[in-house]
Amino acid sequence: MSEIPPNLRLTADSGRGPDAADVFAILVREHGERLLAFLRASVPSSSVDDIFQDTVLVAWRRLPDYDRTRPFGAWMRGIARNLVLDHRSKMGRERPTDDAILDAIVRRAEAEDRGDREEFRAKLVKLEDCVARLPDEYRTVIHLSYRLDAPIARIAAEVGANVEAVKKRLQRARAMVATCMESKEATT
Amino acid sequence: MNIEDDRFTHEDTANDRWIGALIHVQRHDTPERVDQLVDRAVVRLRSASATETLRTAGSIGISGTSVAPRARRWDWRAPVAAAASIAIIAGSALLFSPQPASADSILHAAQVAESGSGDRRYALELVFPTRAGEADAQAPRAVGTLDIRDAEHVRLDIRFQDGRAMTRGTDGTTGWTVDPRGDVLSMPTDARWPRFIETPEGDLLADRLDVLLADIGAHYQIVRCDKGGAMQICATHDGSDFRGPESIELTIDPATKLVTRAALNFGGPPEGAARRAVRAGDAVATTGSGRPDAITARGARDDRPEGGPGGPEGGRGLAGGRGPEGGRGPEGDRGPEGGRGPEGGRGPERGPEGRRGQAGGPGPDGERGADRRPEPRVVIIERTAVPNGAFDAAWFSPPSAPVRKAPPPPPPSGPGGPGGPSGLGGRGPGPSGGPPPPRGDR
Repeated sequence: MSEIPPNLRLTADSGRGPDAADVFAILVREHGERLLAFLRASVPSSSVDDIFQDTVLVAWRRLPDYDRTRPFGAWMRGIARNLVLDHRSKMGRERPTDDAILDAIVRRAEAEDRGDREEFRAKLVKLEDCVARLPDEYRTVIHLSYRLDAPIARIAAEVGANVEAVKKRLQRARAMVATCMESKEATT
Repeated sequence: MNIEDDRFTHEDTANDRWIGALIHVQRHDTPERVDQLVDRAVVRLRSASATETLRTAGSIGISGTSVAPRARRWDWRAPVAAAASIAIIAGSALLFSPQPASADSILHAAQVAESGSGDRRYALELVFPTRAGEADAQAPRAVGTLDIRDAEHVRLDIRFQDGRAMTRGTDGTTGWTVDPRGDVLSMPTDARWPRFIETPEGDLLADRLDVLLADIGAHYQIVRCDKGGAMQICATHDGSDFRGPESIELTIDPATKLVTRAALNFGGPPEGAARRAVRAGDAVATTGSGRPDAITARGARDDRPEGGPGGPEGGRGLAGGRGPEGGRGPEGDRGPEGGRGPEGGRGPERGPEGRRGQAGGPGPDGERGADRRPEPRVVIIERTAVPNGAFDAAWFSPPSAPVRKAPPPPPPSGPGGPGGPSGLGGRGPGPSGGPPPPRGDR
């Protein structure tokens, strides 16, 4: 009896086309950015790549359990969510994300399942445009925080404000970007 | 506290986190970086599979095993497998990375998505060649449904514009059809389905969409041709001798990658032109110089014994291109030579009527096909919802006990002889209710 699950007839069997891992890799690539976005919203960057890799490996192992009527991206994200919870439990009291926030992030990520990779990248281009339209003082802190990965204290020193003011400025900048994105999506 | 933890202290709501994550992805996670991450993971899983020897093929079915064993004994296969994996991954990266969500990647993803089974309903729309003097918009059409659970459980219902209907099914035990009087007739379970719902290999098209997709990948030039926000792939036959539609347009669900719609264009001129073409085809094919034609070619199907003698313009005459050895015997097997005749195929100029009995000889039920249509030139298959999520157990069974067997196909005209009507209109399951013959080539 074949160990290959009946719900996945692999083209390798018929001797034509890519093998299972190739096809799997294509699917993962298709959802890669969105999975990374989910992870970046859920865990510190230092853990993102590791959890991404683990998600891919666990998904590969559990492919027989995949219900193909469900979106592949959502299924992968479900695996990633469990790994995030596992990661969080290991962090003990330094939990970066509580349950409510994580669930809300999952819902935000679900909204991205409606499109494909190109659409998601197109959305990121819009986002970049929104960032570019920010007033200077906001664009600067976004640049320092996200492009240069500068710590808040250093940004504060750089812009001549205190730490709390920088946090607030970053928060407002993201809110303005969110509003800009919503208006762009509303017009498309 | 590292930089990222620091960032999290000022992203305190989900929306805030999400926008922050998007900015981060936009700035750092380029498509190239994502591909590298995926490639790295795939190398790991390939390497793990290689070292888990016999589990290679089955690794996807094993849960709870270590995909990436930490400690391994030295095994000469490991570096070989790793090298092979890297080569494959590098090749894959070259193939797939330049264009995110390229037509290739979508096609392969759809192939995976379509490889499962389960109850499915496809709405069918068939567009037939116009008659002489008819505008394209007047092309006769038929609509229907194709219900499939698996290759053994299939039901086809088609209604033609003129009120005729075609109903056929099989539940794996009994094949059946309904004749014009409403009588249920039994027929072999392996009786052929109309050509337009079979793959060139004889598989039921909608049951094996993954096969069709693999064929598209191998024999068609594909491009993305999204329309109106829908993810679409346009495939054009590459001119090889693969027997399949001239062009195919696939609409794919971006989330599930299932094919929601397939429009198969078999090409072919309008009927009036086809009549002229068949004559031209005769002339060419008799020279034996023809090559298999992508549009009209249909090796196995075109030589079925059910055709019977072709009418004046019907069936496969000399234009059919199969030589004396190429025909099928009475059992539907290939002729003594087991293959094509000296001509090696069909004349490229052969029109649709070169293979179909447009006005051809008697069909299986003895009815002449003078008023019958040739095979459709366009077939649109659209996935629709299955009522209540699943078909009733009896849906694929005959609606009542068959009152008699469907008439057998007429005796073949002999090896290499002209085929009779084999198209939708000229075959058993047509309005006359006669069945198509068993699949002699299986």
